Amino acid sequence: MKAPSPFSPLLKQWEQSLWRCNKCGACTGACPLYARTKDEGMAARGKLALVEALLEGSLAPGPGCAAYLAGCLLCQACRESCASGVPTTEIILAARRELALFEKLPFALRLLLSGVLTRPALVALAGRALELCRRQGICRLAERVLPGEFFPLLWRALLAAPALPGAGAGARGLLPEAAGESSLARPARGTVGYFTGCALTLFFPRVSRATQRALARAGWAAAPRNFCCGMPHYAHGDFRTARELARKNIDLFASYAAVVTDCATCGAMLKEYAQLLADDKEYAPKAKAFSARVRDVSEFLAAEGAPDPERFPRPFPASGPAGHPGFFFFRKERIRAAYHDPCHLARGQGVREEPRRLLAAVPGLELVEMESADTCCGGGGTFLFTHLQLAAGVGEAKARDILAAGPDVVVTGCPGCLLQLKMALQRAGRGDLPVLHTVELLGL
Amino acid sequence: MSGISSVVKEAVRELKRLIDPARVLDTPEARLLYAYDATAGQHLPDAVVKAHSPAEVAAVLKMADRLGFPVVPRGAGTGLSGGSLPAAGGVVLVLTGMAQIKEIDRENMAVVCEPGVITADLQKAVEREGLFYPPDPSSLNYCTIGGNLAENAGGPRGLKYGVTKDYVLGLEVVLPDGETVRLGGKQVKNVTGYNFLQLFVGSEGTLGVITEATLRLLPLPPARKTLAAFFDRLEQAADAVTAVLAAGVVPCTLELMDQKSIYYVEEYLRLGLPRQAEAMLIIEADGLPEETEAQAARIARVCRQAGARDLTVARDSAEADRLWRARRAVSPAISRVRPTKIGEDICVPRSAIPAMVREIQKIEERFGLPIVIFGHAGDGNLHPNILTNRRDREEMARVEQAIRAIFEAAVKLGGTLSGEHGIGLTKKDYLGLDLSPRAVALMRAVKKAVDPAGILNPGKIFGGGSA
Repeated sequence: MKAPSPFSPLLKQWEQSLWRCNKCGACTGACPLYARTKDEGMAARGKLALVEALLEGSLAPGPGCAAYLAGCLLCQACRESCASGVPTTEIILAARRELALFEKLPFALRLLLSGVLTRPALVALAGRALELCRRQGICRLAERVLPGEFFPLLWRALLAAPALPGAGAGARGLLPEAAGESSLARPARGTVGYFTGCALTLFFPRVSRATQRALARAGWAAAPRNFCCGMPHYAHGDFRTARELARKNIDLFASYAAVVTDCATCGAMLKEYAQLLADDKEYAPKAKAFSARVRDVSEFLAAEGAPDPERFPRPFPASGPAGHPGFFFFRKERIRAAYHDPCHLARGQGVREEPRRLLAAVPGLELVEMESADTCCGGGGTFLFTHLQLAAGVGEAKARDILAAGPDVVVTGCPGCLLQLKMALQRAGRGDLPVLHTVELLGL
Repeated sequence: MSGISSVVKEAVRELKRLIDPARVLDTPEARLLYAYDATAGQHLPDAVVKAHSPAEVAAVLKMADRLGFPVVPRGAGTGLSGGSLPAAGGVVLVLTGMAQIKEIDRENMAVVCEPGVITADLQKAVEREGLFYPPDPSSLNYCTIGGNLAENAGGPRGLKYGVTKDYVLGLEVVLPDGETVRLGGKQVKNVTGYNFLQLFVGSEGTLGVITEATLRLLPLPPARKTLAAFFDRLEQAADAVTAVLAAGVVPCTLELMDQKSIYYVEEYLRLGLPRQAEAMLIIEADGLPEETEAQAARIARVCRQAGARDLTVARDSAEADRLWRARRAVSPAISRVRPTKIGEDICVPRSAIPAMVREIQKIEERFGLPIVIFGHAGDGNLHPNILTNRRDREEMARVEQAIRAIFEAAVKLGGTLSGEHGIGLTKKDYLGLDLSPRAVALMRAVKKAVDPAGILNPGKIFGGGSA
């Protein structure tokens, strides 16, 4: 009656884990997409039911099934809520791979993923081009020309200068754009491999600069470099490219005792290499050692000691002149900062306390907790491009929680979140609220 | 193609004209996605309709009445007895889209809401107003009020605060013929006519579809005090429970964990629980601050007198949370032991708890199946969980026998088949153990009178034929 499963052992290997799902529904309570849609197919247990049916042969793989499997932020909230410990995210990824969802992505996105992101030179070039656009106001032109609601919002999010409230008109950027290394403490403790994520290179070069400043203040020189971490390919089921990129990165960072990154998603992926290459004869041991050396920048700085004001005196007086980047923190009594946990940092890497500890130590900064700080913002990497409306809907709930906490500035540790939070706040009519990366408040 | 599925095909065509077609689904994927609940049973519906208004609910039922196909109301699909499974096919009517809290009436201490509201969301909303909705099924973060009403859900607070039925003031119900009735209101007392309000509570979706509920609220108790006590022997724990109540204290929760629960939680979390203890009690008092302090002191004294080997009184909410961690970890801990866990839900008179636990231990030995027991000691509601593998046919046959033996023992001790999960599909074959043939006939007669065509959730509660 039922034909034998046409699926590869790579999906089949999850069958036992699938059986552990007793459909209790706890994942529906954790899933941001279910909260929005109330659709079983959005929550993990529904997706697991579909995968189980695929494996049993009672459901034929088709566009319907692919659409449900594509509808996941990979935020891992379901995995955390699961009493039976079902590895939901892994199973969804394996199913995406099996159904070759990568092939079904829009052409432009596929081109970006396999044509551009796999080539660091192109990423760097595109980064410089975008930076030029930002400086020359070409993006502003594009904003007017491109149709719809999404692209103008996106451009504005990308262009947003992280000005804090009270900043004078001249102080567009919070950070000194060209703060030379010389004005900071001289790196005395060694050099770390700095994994510069593609998204930060492309969209937020200011964050990359801030990371290097923050590391320098803690006494570390940074050697910036990277191949794409492979997450975008991995997430859409293109495991082959992900593994290839993993091997390249392992070789690229072979000589560094610590690999530090300021991208939550890249960090989660780099730490995943050990698993990803576990069956690779040559690279398995190297991958294991590599993943063990990876640290998120907040994790690294918290462990290595926050910048010590005695050893590394502030490069500006506390009562500095208006317009000086450090000024804002001292003009108002206290700046209220709300921290949003990126999924790939909180659940992906178990890093929740470190960024909060670092932020709480910044003079003049008061850390305020928003409701559901670790609920996904709805960005989900490329999800925000492939599922415009749904991503906006999830972002709406996040913006509500942020605004209820009444912060002066929103802080997070992931370029995807930076983008999505900015867009969500724009939609909520609060595009003026600065959204910053943790390191941007540390490198001052 | 069966008769029903061709009828439903026609219904789907017609419904798509009345309801947003994006909410009338009959794709293979959608049918699979609404084929299960927390029993892990699977019954494919022919179609799924997500209703967004009472009018849409009525439209579906009128069509079912006219064309003759089954309709199964469904909330979040977290039921533990199969109440929302489309056992006879037909249309699954999903109510999660009707999730408005319409009114929080502080003066009359009542809340008016739609059936799809998540229980925890309702609790948080009324707590912001200083009010309290006590029923707390363990799935409260993801189950719906509609489902709670249909199954008459309980929870740990049952001892002091009662269960869902004790908070229902009014209902709007769409009957199987598509007509709507409103019963009760915001008034606390009401003896006008039969108490049909309660007829629909716990009716498991067989008599009508609840489209609005008015629920009674209490003032939110400002303070809470939590204790944990370990006993070498189960009987000592049972004595402690009786003694606490005899001492004039009604705790809001009185949770019991047996030795196996303690053991598996300790294996899982390494909290430092004494594995040789036969029972752990988690007791919580609530009320005004000075009142809870006094209650906690009295509870502690009584537990010591009953022979508690170890007693912790939480000083603050963080410590209370640590005590609750053990109880909350039972499910995750035992879920990891074997592939399948089958949770039963018997309820016995409080005094019969030790005897019931001993009976279950005998059943465990007789059938060679690990059975973990935890539950609500205050109200006699025990959850024996059989750890098994649902893909092992031989073992599942033994599980069936063990379940029957547990039910027989519970009834013999003056108890019942289900305290808070309902009968649904999974327990209908045992109905005759508990209810007399005349009682079952009476229930069937009511069903027949309200739903003569038998379209609403057929095949539930009553077994085939004579049961």
